[in-house]
Amino acid sequence: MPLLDIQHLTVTYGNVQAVRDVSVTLETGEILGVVGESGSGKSTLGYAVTKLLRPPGAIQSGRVLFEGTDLVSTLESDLRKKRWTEISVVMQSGMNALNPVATIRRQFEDAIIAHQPTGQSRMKERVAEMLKMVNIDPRYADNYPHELSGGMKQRISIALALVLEPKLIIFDEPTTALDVVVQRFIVQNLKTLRSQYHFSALFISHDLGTVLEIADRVAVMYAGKFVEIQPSGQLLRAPKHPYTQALLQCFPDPRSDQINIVGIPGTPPDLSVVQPGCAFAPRCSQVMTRCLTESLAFVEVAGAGVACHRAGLTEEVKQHG
Amino acid sequence: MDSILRLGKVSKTYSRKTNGHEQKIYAARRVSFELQTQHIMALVGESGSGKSTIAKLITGVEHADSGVIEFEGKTLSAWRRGHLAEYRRNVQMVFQDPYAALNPLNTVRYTISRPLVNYRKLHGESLHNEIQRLLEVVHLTPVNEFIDKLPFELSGGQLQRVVTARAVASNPKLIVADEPVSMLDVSIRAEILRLIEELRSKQGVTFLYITHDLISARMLADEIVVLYRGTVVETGNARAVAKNPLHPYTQLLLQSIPNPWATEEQPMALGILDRTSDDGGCVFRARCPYAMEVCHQGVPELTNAESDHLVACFLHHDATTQMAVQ
Repeated sequence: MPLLDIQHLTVTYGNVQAVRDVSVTLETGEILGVVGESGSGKSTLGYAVTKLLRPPGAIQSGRVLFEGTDLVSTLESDLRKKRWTEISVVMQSGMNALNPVATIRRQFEDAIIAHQPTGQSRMKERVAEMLKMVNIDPRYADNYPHELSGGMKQRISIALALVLEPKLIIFDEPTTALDVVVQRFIVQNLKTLRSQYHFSALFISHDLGTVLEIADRVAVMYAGKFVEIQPSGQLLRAPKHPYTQALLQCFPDPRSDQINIVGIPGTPPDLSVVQPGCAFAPRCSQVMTRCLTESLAFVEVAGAGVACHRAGLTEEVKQHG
Repeated sequence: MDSILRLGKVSKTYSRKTNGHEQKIYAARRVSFELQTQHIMALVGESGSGKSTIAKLITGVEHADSGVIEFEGKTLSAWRRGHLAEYRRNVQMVFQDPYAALNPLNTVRYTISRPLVNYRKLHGESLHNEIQRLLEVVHLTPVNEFIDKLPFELSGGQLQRVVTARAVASNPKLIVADEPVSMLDVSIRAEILRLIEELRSKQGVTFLYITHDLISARMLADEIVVLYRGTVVETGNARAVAKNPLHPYTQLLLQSIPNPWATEEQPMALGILDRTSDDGGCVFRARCPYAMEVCHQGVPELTNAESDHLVACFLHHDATTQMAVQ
């Protein structure tokens, strides 16, 4: 049984369908990267999985099975027990997710006391342990968030998410607001932590480069739908969906001789209107007539899949040719 | 070569009080560089490197503590004496956040008309025609679809085009673009970068492109200036600096860019990420994996390492002759 099994999830904000019939599974210990641009629905997906959507955001249909239990129908009081102990979240800007009027120690203690109370001395040890784990000197435990740099605060929010050793962590753009050197540092840190703690994660980001480095598999999202899922290495070497191909070209190899950021002309579609055909068709360089009328359901087979008429064709050509 | 802008040993210090102690922040320390007419120069650095301070000093929003800024051979203080409006007309700015740079209550037409009315005294039909032309220049076409829109009706990329059209409206010679693409989606960035390139080649505008992104700097710019805590650590031909950086800080920046193409994990010497005191010595020494004795004693000056490539690092110096003790 997969740790997380999202089935036909649709999330709406009023008449805007932000997540459209998304299905994906996450195995124990796996990091699934979710990549998309603003408005693609990637953050909404993360919030829906944890049921932290703010009104008017609402799950319209679908199931989110966590160890076989459907979180969508789970009572809020039962969900509260699972949050932090079994599922935790790291928000985009750690600076805003931390309580500004509580010391770092207090924030760790609050979480521990609320979910897994232990003695004072054990708690003190635990805080020191967690801070060391993210390479922060434990003497900072008695500082307030504003006394620390953005990178330190983000590392602290990662440590906070890990303190109760959850099985699943949702990372929502954990490195976006940070400088590139600090970003690199946090990504390296996360890789080490994962080998120690064996957590599973949904790693949501717009930065395909970072996601490809950290995730085992990558799901590319466009206009509320997954357009492609592949193991990271394969996605990098042989992207099937034209959107993935175009997105990859926006992240050139910094060491290559020629650097040319191509970009993708056009803008993402208006999600309040449901249009027939493929949502990417108006921006697609390989568009065909049927792309404008026939939509394609995304099917995940053995952890991979693509929703593109063109991809199906090239497969056929390969088989016959 | 024809230089349009020259900074000579420009310094700017801010001070703030922490726990009752006055603390000095060196936002710019003896920054010198020269920008050639119709070139694009990238100013690259992380947050706190002082790159936005330099933008403010050049556009005249802030005053330098010392040093000289020359635009078209005339110092900024000379421009300030009675010619400030002309200076502003010639030196325009594009900001990072297009959502914040435009008045939400003003239409595209009104926004772009302001510099045309104020600086170029256009009105009536000639004003309307010029607005139309500018929207075409920034590729907001068909023009009639955009001209009467309010900011909330446009996407981030479209808004940044409006901001750019406004900056170009006064026919400036120099545009300082402060992180013009970092708020935009990656798929949109290329178009704005291409627009900058086009304005340079077709309209002859010189650009100072401020960014934290070494890759886009390499793609767009002719020259790169790398800043670390207010100090120029490396400068030169864009390709040379961004592909074969000589300063350990620029090397760290390049290594930090996510690179899934790298065949193996590149081990990185990160050093201490926190700030250190500024009591002489090289600004980067606390984080530098190659820090030597001499790095603690003196400040390395920018010196030619190769033609078109200068670096301020003792690794690339004959230390005894180049050391400038503060």
